Amino acid sequence: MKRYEIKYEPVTIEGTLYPKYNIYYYINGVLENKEFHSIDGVNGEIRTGYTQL
Amino acid sequence: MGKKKISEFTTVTPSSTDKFLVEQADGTYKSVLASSITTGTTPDGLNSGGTITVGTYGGSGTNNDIRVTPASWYISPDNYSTVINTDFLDIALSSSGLQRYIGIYGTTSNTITKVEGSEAALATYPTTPANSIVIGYVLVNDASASTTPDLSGYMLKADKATQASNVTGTNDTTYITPLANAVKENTANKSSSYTASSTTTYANTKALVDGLATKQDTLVSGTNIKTVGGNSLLGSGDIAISSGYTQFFVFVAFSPADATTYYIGNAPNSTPTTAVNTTLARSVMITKDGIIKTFAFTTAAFSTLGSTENGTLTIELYDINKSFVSSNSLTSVFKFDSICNQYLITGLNISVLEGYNVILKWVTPTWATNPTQAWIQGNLYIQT
Repeated sequence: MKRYEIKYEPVTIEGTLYPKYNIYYYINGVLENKEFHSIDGVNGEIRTGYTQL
Repeated sequence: MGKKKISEFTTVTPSSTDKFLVEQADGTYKSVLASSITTGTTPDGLNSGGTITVGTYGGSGTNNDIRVTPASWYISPDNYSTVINTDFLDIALSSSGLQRYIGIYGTTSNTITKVEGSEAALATYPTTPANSIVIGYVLVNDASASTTPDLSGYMLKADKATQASNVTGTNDTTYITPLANAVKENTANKSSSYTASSTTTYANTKALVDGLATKQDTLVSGTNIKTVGGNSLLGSGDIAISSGYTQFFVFVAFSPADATTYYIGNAPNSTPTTAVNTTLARSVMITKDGIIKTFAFTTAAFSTLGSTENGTLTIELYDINKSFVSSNSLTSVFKFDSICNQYLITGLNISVLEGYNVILKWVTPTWATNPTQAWIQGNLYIQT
């Protein structure tokens, strides 16, 4: 089963906070990959064939 | 005997019609045209007659007498002559195995004399007496006498031009003697083969010319033998021939996360993964032992350009059983801040063996702005 999960993981660079959402892909519960998703958690790409965890 | 004397004028310059009175042998005088008188130096020698024969002319034996017919000769400044045959009777044969010459000479007393030469295996002419001219010679061996000289051991004068380098000097004006140790050419040793192995025979020039025509000229680099990469092929030793091949790395564009490790193989339909075991299935397998010398790659961000932070790129080697072998840094300077950046990494010396698996390990930076639709395509050059 292919699932994904979007996590808010902001970073701070030289005192500046950068909001970031990363997306994690799992196959049968095992992490397969991790990608940058978006800065708002909404407008990023999601691979086809994966459903939200 | 009478004398013929030629008047000599050293200060007169006669015309062609002038005549002189010339005293003849019988004491009378003859009127001759000046133009018919030959002036200048007359050499000593036989003028006419003086034929020498060997036969029976009155001696006690047979064919052992010498006869010289009447002759006239000149010994400067006078002419001399005989008017009857001159016979030398009962010539003794030479000792067994030996020979000698008898010289026949005209003298200044109007007589013909003989001088016995020394006996030898190969006789030489006796010395000509003073105030005499040579009329001829008779060869006397241990069996007979003859006016024919023994030419054995002599070389024809006609051959002197081509044989001159082989002689030491002349014996007379007609023949020259060969070197004491000269050996006559044995034409049986002349061979039409230049390949025959022999210490006796020798190839004729045609065989040599024909043989040489089948041989290759001396090799001159770049002239009648090509070079390899500008290197001469002449001489000893080995010329290492450098060759190699490339291995291709690529993946489908994706959006890399911050400070994340991705593994890249040759997967044109897949994104990189964070799990090395997954990417090993897509790794590039080495097909021939060699040395990784160069890595050229391109980065691109097709959607959002990344900020200028650099990532790092490492090459990891795994053996044929997918067991880790080594990790080698490639670069820590490459970006996704442009639609397309090209990088060339040279000077690498990473040995690889046939069956090795190669994957690229990419550690992303923490970007202020993450690139999206990011992509890497690269080529490894492996020298064999």
